[in-house]
Amino acid sequence: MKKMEHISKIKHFCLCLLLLITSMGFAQNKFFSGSVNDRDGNPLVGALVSIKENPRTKVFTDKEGKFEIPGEKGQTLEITTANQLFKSFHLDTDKMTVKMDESDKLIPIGYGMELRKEELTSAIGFVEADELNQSSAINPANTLYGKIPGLTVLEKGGTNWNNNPNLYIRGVETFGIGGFSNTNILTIVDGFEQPISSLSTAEIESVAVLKDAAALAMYGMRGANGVLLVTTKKGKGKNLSVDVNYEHGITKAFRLPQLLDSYDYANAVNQARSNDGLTPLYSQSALDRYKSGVSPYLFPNVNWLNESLNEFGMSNKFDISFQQQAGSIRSFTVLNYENETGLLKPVNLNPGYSTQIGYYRFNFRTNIDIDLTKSTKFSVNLAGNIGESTRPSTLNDESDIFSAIYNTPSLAFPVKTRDNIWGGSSTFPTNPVAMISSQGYNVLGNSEISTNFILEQKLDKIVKGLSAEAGYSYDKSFEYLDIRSKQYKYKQVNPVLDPSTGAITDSVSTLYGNNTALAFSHAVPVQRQRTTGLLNLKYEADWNDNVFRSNILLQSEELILTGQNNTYRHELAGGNVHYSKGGKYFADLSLSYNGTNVLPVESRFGLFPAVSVAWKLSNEKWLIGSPIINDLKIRASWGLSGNDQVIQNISTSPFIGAQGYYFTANNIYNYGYTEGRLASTPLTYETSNKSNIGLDATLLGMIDLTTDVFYDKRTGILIESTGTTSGVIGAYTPYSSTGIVENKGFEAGINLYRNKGNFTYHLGGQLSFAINKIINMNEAYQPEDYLKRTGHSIGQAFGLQSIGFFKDAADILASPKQTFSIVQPGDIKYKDQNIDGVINSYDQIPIGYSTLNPEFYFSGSIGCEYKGLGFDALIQGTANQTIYLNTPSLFWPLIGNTTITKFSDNAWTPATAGTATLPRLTTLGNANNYQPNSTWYANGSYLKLRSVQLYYDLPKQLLSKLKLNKTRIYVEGLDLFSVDNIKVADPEAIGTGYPTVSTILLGAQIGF
Amino acid sequence: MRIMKRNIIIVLVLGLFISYGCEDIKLGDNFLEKAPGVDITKDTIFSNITNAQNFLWGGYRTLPYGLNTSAPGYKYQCMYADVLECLTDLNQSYAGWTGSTNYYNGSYTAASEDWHGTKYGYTDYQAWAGMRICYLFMENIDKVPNVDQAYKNQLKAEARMIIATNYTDLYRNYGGVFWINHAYTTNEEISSFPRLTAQATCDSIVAMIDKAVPDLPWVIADQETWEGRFTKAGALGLKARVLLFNASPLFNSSTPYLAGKASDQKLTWHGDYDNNLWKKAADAAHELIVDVESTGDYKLYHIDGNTFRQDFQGAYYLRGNEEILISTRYTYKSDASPTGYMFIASSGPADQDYGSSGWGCGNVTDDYVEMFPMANGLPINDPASGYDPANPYANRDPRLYETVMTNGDAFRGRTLELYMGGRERPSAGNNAAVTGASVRKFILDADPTTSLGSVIQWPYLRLPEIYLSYAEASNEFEGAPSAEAYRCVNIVRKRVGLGDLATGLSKEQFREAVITERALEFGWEGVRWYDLIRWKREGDFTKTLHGVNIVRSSTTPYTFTYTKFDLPARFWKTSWSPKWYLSAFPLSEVNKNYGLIQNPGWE
Repeated sequence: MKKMEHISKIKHFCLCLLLLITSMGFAQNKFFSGSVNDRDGNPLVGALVSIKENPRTKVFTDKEGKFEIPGEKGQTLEITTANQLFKSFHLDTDKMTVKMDESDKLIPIGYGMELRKEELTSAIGFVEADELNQSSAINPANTLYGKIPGLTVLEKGGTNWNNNPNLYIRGVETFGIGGFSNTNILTIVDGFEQPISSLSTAEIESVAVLKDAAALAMYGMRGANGVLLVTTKKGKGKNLSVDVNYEHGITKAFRLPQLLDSYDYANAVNQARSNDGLTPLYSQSALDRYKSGVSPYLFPNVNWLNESLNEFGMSNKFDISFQQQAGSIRSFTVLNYENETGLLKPVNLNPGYSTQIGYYRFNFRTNIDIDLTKSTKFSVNLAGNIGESTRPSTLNDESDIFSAIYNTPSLAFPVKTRDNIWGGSSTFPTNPVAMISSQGYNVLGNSEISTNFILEQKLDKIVKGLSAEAGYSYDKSFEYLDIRSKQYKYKQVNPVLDPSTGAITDSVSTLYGNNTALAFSHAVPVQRQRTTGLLNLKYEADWNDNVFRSNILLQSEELILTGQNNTYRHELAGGNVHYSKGGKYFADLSLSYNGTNVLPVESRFGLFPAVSVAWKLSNEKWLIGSPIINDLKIRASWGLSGNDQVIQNISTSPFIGAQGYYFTANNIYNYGYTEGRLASTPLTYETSNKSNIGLDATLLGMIDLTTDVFYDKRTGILIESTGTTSGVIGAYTPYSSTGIVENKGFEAGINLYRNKGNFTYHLGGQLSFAINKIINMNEAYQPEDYLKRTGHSIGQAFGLQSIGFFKDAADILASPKQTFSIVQPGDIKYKDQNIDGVINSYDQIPIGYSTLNPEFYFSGSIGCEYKGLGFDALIQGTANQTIYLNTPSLFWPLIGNTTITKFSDNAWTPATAGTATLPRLTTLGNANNYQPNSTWYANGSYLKLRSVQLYYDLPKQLLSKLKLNKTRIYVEGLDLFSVDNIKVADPEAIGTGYPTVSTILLGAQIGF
Repeated sequence: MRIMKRNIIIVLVLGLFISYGCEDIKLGDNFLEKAPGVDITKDTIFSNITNAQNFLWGGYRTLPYGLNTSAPGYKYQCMYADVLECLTDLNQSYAGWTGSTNYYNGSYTAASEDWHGTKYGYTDYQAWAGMRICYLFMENIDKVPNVDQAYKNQLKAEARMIIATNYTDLYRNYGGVFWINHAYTTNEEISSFPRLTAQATCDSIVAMIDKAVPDLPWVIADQETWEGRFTKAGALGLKARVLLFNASPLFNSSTPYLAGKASDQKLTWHGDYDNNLWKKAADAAHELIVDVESTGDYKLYHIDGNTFRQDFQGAYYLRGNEEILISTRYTYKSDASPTGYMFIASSGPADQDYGSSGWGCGNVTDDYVEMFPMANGLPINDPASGYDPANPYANRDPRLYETVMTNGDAFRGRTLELYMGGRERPSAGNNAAVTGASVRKFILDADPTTSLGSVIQWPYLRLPEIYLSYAEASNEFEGAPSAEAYRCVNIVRKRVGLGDLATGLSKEQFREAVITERALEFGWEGVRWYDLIRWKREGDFTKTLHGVNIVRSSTTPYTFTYTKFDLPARFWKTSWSPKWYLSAFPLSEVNKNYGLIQNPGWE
């Protein structure tokens, strides 16, 4: 509350400021006119044309792209198009023709600053709202699949609203220890750190990915994993415009496992027991009954998927946005509402509430820029959201339910017994349908508010070209959890059969549990509060054909997560100098000095320099006017970047309570203390030494090409020293900042765009490749070279190499001894890598690739439009990734009272020994077959249709009659299919979590 | 002018805005200081005596504890549910998955050392951790205010004894080891700690003990609160134990037990035979014996009116009895649930009263049963002993019945049924009591109403061992048993009612008698293994061990027939190597390349 008061006080100040300062008139001498066109010669309509020295003088280009503006010779004219192309030049001639293309695109480079693409010397990937909107998603991170070269987005599964994909920039080049994750990238929204999931897609103008040292230098100790810069929309149109969007979606599970029915399950169990030398569990008469389904209560055959899940779920999304540029105020406001209804089926069995998995969220944002005077600009961004999700009240999350659905055999019990009590049994603990409908429900609500203020003051009166900027940001969010849980009664019914005839004579039943009333409890699981202050002093000058820009930055930030021991503080002082000559030679020098509170005093500050240069060859005389190469620039950068994500409080050794001692024959416990892990010193941040060479080109007037090659070397990674420090020290060995990982790769993006009258089309492709190699991880001694993790990539899969299945007892006798469990025919036979006659963990070799991230990440897009009717599609894929297939039931059947799916159809039996691809079935844990081994490592590559859209824009003539702007209706499909090797599950989410979904959307956009 | 004024106002407002808005956002080093917390640091520990003592109690927790425990605590399990006797001729574990398996089948190697499946996990057994605690304690205890120096010195002496005790067991399992003489600090080279020869390791342990002795109390005055802390008597006893090991032929010999680099550097022997080492061992033991007998505070446990069995049971079981020199503890009481108390479940027979089939770790060999003499003191193979093979458990050394559950002995108010099909051995498939006998020591009658849930200890060192050690060492040094040596052995025998040892024994006969006496007195107390290795008794490792199948007649009155059978042969029987006398250093340690030389035979 106190914070809110502060904010309102600040607002008061701003209002006073407005009242205090009156605007100021000035002289206008002369009119200049011109036209603005795109590279194909089409007029650019609605571009903002203004005089830099006098920001209130502004006009917009008309339908022919023409403008007329009052000004003085020598003043600076600035042109900004609706799609963020920007050009500025000194007024010289009365009439001018301005051609603007991709190289004029304004690219955010951090801390609220932008550069034209042409001026960039660093590697920055970029995507704009139009493209993001092709992939509707609650969490904007899920619109980024395959959109930016160098950004790997990996789906993790889970419900649409909890689905935070893993984001990696240029792969992975560090590893956490002891479960501590340090691969997180930094996400910045409008200059201040904030999770992208806090936003709705409707708020976002663009997303940039900072990749090389030059781009990351100003983020110093926090930039080594890369930075995602999100820019929200600003008011920029001439008149008040209102855009309304509505979307209705139908969701369907992407892939569900094919669980076996009762008859097949019983046969599989009998087969497994026969393999184990046990008697069949199901008699022929029982099998017959399961097959015929004549006794659905005593010999049930329940398809738990059908009973638990609806075919379709549903989503709705509505947003309305307003933007205007009026006088000295520009504003953008959006209200966004989205909801989603999950796939659960038996959700309405309780009066008064539903147990459906569902979600709604309401987002709002207002971004206001005010020109207080001709030299003062004030910006306020105010945003927030409230949301709520509901789900059945299970212990953990919805994965409990899906784990029950996937693991309960069809014949376990009927959904309900004949007397309408939930079916259940002592062997199979959970009835999925009862779990969904009769355990009550949880509500998890969240709310979040974020504000930031930026005051910009030009200080030309002091020094020409000098300006200062002060910013302040405050962001707070919390979650509350309401639990309304109850228990249900269930009944196990077993038939009694006549031993001679096999006829059902009676049944025996047992009751378990009780139906209880809802019990209430609540918690506040997560709170987050972030405060940032920023001062930025800028200076720019140009003379002849030289441009000089520089800035000095001071920033201080504090993040408090739930609890005081989770306080993270950073401070930064940095500077950047940019120089260019003749539009041909560009150079940047950046330096930042950073401090963090997670490191001890002697190492908490670090210095991060970067240099970068670019040469725009296409502006050289000998290339100007080339019909083939329209635009060509080469870039090179080198610099350092840091990562301070290390475990907190490890630079001193903690003392902790320990097991004590009993003296005397009396029960007096004398508590013990012991020492924790030894102090990890010297402790430092990770340093990434990054080099990058890049090329940007436009060829044949329609092909844009950008490509980068990089080499990074990350040092100072926190690693264990157990493997190299003697045990005689008698203490938990300290961590040491001596890990080294090398990461190299390239990325390329190509776009072909053509606009020919009524017909436009585009084709695009992106390819990212990153491969890392562990150079040092203080690895413990390994008796064989092939066991070493060093030299492989982070997350490299290791396992035994399967060489088929044991044929018979003689085969077992003749083979090296396998030590995990007693083997028999049908068990996996492993290769003895070290030829010592024994198969044990020393026979593990690297198999496939990393299970963490793919080496190749690529996408292709295609789109065309004719007279308003258009089509867009995006496919995205990965290669060189390995998946460990270890999900119970789905891949590992029957063990520990689970069920079996069609995946196991080709399991070894004596009859199919020659062709089987999977080991024999067993109901007992089989330590031999379920060792990590090549049988269970699969190729994780896939190619997915991420989005496909068909739209129709109402014709302009009709729109102008209706006084409408761009108005569109569309139908869209998301994640419709995948080509992969897994086939029975989504290759990106093979576990028993909430299924990933395919979505069909119908939507309409109206602008007026 | 007007413009200037406006700009001044704006700059002013800008400044206000920044200073106001950034109230809790600052620049400078202070901003990055750690927020106050509740972390416990070294300063917290050594700011008052209670915390400091608690830190030392954490050190006590690392003392050797020979009974298996239910869960890894500070002191981890040794050989899972097995005990050290499972590797000797006294006992055969049948569990199949416990630590002894790797020794029985010869699969133990340097690569498989250092976890709680081995007899003494090099680092897993927490000896080094205990030493670190003690050095940290000694280096910091003087900071604690308001404690008199004498008490601080006593605490330091206790810390020295924890170090010495842990080193004694490292020495007995590994020979010469790295000598830790201060608490390691991060980034220090391990080579700053010296690797000592076997003799130097022993000398360092003795020096450590000698330094502790003056500051330790002879007995603990406040028995009600502090019984179990180190005493001077315990310190002198430990010194006698380590010197006897040091003088024994494993190290004290004209030839190394096995050639190798470690032998070359005298890490695993002394380089030659030195008879004087026996004298040192004898003197150390006798010093304690003289002190004990002159003060009267310590003596072999005996209560007037007790049976011999009750005396013997009390001697090893009761905390704070007057013959315990060093006692270590893991819990307060044995677990009150019969299956929860690991030693019963693992080592006891099938227990139908409490639904436990027994794991079979404590199957006593018939060879051990046969070592016990008759109650009259004569060995069973003496024709005059009165031994009846048809009734083998009658009239034996009382210690037999307290150490081993024998068929027909009293148990829970009934008789033990160790015959095939009996309550203790219900089916052939059981692993427990397969040898026809099962451990009783520490289990007593395994009755929740009586013995279970009673206070338990591990009697690491008892006074009788000192008497027997003196007898053994003086016999070796003097070349023949002296009257004092006989007296010392007979003190031990007399407590359980056995007559005096026959006189006129040769040096070798007397030695054998003492070793046997030690086996009878200290079964399941972790003594036998070290006796076998220090005397390099290869024959006891390679001999065929036996069990007994007991069959009850089908009609009453029941009679029993006893049929000996051979136990499954251990790997050692055919493939013995002297390398097994000492443990292998874990391969993971050797390969860290800080100068650790592997013990002979394990390279």
